[in-house]
Amino acid sequence: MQTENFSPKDSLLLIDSMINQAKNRFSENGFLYLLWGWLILFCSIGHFVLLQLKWFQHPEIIWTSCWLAVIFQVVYLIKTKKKEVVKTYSEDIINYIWICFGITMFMLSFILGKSQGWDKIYALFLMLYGTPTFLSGVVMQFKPLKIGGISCWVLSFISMFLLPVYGLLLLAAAMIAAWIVPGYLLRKKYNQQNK
Amino acid sequence: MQQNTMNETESLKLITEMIGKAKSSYHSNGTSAIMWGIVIFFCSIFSFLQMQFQFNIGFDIWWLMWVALVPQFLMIFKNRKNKNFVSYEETTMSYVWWAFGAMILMIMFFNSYYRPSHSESLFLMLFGLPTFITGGMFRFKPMIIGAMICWILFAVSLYTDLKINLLLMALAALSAWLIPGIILRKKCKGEGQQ
Repeated sequence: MQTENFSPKDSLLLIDSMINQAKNRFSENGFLYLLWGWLILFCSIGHFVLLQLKWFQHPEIIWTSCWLAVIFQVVYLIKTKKKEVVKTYSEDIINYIWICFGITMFMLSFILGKSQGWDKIYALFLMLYGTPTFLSGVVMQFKPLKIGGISCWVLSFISMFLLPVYGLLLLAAAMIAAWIVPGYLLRKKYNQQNK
Repeated sequence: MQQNTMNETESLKLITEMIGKAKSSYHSNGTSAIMWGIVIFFCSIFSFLQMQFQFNIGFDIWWLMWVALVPQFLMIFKNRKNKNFVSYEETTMSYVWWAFGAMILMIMFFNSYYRPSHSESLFLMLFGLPTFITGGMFRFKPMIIGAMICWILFAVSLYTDLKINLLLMALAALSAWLIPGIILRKKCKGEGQQ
């Protein structure tokens, strides 16, 4: 492998260009926030309505639609990774945050199936939704995500005092605050930067 | 205010210095990891022994966690005083650990309010979270491995009783914080001697 010798000026130019590239790419388009935000909003409202109507024996079946979104997301991420020129340190951190979120969500779903007395699970889901949202906001220095994350934690606390069925409505509210609104704002920012 | 103009060599030197400073502050974090590793390890083993040999000391040993907050805050304030800049990584890192603290409080409240079965497993799940992010951020493998061990122990804890889960918690503290903390410390000392 051949190594090039950089002069201090070249090094600074390289750093500058990397920062500029990263700045442009950093403001992500918010697509995944919107995808998951709308899907979970739809599922939680749907689950709530089906529970009220009592049409189905297992209204929770509506959540299986999330698997389709998982497949879609995997394809989307593979496609975007191919186009990626440079991966920033912040993106790396965000990846680690969301990998953690995925793993803990999987674990929580597992505990839901395994144990008893978990009818108040929405409080835990809301708490977990808040964490990666808040931390992504910190890493991106994007206030709407920070506010969204804190909203999830407040809603998590409130849900402990309500009947489990209303946890679904709080989940829907959390999606609007944490992912849908910040998702649209991220998209707007992205479009403005790429004009 | 007057602004100094720097040439390329000076700018690069400044960048290198900043990276060096950030690296040394990151190394000092090993102390917190070791302290929390020891406290949680001790509390878990002590609780296990209390259950095993049926004795009571008159207070809950887990209150030691609150006591450990005092040196932690002192370290934070001392660190802040000695510094004239805070790196991006440090800011992010402190938010990760504050978020972890908030989640632990929420889980404690949740568990005391509902007392669900396997409630202690949730702590094992949470222990892995900031550890994995910290390990990923600093590309520090022992912490990534420690976090994964926490999650494996979480899965195991769903099939075991409280007494065994206390031992699992001690194992988690050992692998996620105590051992990586000691490795960090050694690394820091090694670099300091160079």
